[in-house]
Amino acid sequence: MDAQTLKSRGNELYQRGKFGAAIEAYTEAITCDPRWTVLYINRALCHRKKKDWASVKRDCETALHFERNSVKALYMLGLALIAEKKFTDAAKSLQRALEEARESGDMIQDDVWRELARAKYLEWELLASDRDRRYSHLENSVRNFSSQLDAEDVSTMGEVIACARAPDDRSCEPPDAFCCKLTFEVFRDPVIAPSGHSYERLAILQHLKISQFDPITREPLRPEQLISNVNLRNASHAWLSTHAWAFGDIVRPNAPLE
Amino acid sequence: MASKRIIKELLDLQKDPPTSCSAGPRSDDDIFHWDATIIGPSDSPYQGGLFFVAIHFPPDYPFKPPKVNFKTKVYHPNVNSQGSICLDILKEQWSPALTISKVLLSICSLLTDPNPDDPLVPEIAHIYKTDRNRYNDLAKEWTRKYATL
Repeated sequence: MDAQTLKSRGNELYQRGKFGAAIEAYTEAITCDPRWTVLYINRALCHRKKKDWASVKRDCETALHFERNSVKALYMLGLALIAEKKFTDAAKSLQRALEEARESGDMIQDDVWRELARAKYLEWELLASDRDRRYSHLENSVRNFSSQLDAEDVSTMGEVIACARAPDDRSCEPPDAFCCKLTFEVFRDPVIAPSGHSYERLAILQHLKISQFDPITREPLRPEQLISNVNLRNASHAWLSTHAWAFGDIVRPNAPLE
Repeated sequence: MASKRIIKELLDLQKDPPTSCSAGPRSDDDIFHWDATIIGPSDSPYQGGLFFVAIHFPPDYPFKPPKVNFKTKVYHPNVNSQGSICLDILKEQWSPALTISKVLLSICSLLTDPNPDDPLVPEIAHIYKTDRNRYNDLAKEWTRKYATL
């Protein structure tokens, strides 16, 4: 049998939820045509269903070797890296997937963004808990030595630790200017309407399918009048990168990987 | 998207509650059904009344409007005996930039300023237009009877 026939059989088995058998079909297809990227991606999809993340990673890496900008391979590689708790690498892979998907207008963007947010959040959580542990340790050490320090030094040390912890303060809210009036979330991919108001792209497009007006000004509005608001996107993302805890608002960080 | 936005609206309401109304989910495991209360506006015959309102968010909220109904009987040209409310922003004038808080405030204004030209109960609209004193008396009486704890 040739690679094409085997691939079709793999796809059919995948549709029927027979992931193990589909993996066998794709593996046979790969022996016939080892340079066909789609085969590795499809096999990775099966491994993903079986939550075999090591195999997902291996197939995605091979696919990326042949096609370095494959959105699906970058995306699934990101998932596999999250499973391995390599959040920084996962975020890098998902960031590239997002940029590629944005360029091609791929609808997978929404999923990629949420997983990117998850990776960034988990990365932050790990760093923050480690920092917290070290600061608490330092505080205790200072307290133990307080008899050898004067009172001013002890209180100054307290101030210094409080300042160092301040950037982690989660009580602050994302600035309104960086939040979409429809989703109430920090902008991922904002577009600006002729009214001057910006909206999250997918949300405003969904609204325009139902009613053809600007949600805030109620002026008539058509999808082709929307323009990417690149500056707002960059500003929102810059804010997120220094307040990574806010990604916890976009995702449920501990939801199972799918 | 719907449930995330509903949760955010709830947090905003808890952080910055409006003076004349309150709202929240009926139970913890279903955030699509809310109960709200509206305090009768002081410059209206509904003054002194406490009105219960049921809110149901559709699965495609905020692209479709929430369904809002009075649970307390109200004598008003734009509210019928089933508690249905005739309010443009709950129908064709809905915008996804509106929130439940804004909807409740609009209902408060509707209590103060009925819209008799687009009535749901033509008899009440007629009395409102022709005999305002009688309308005020009846609205006050219903408020005392049905909306006072």
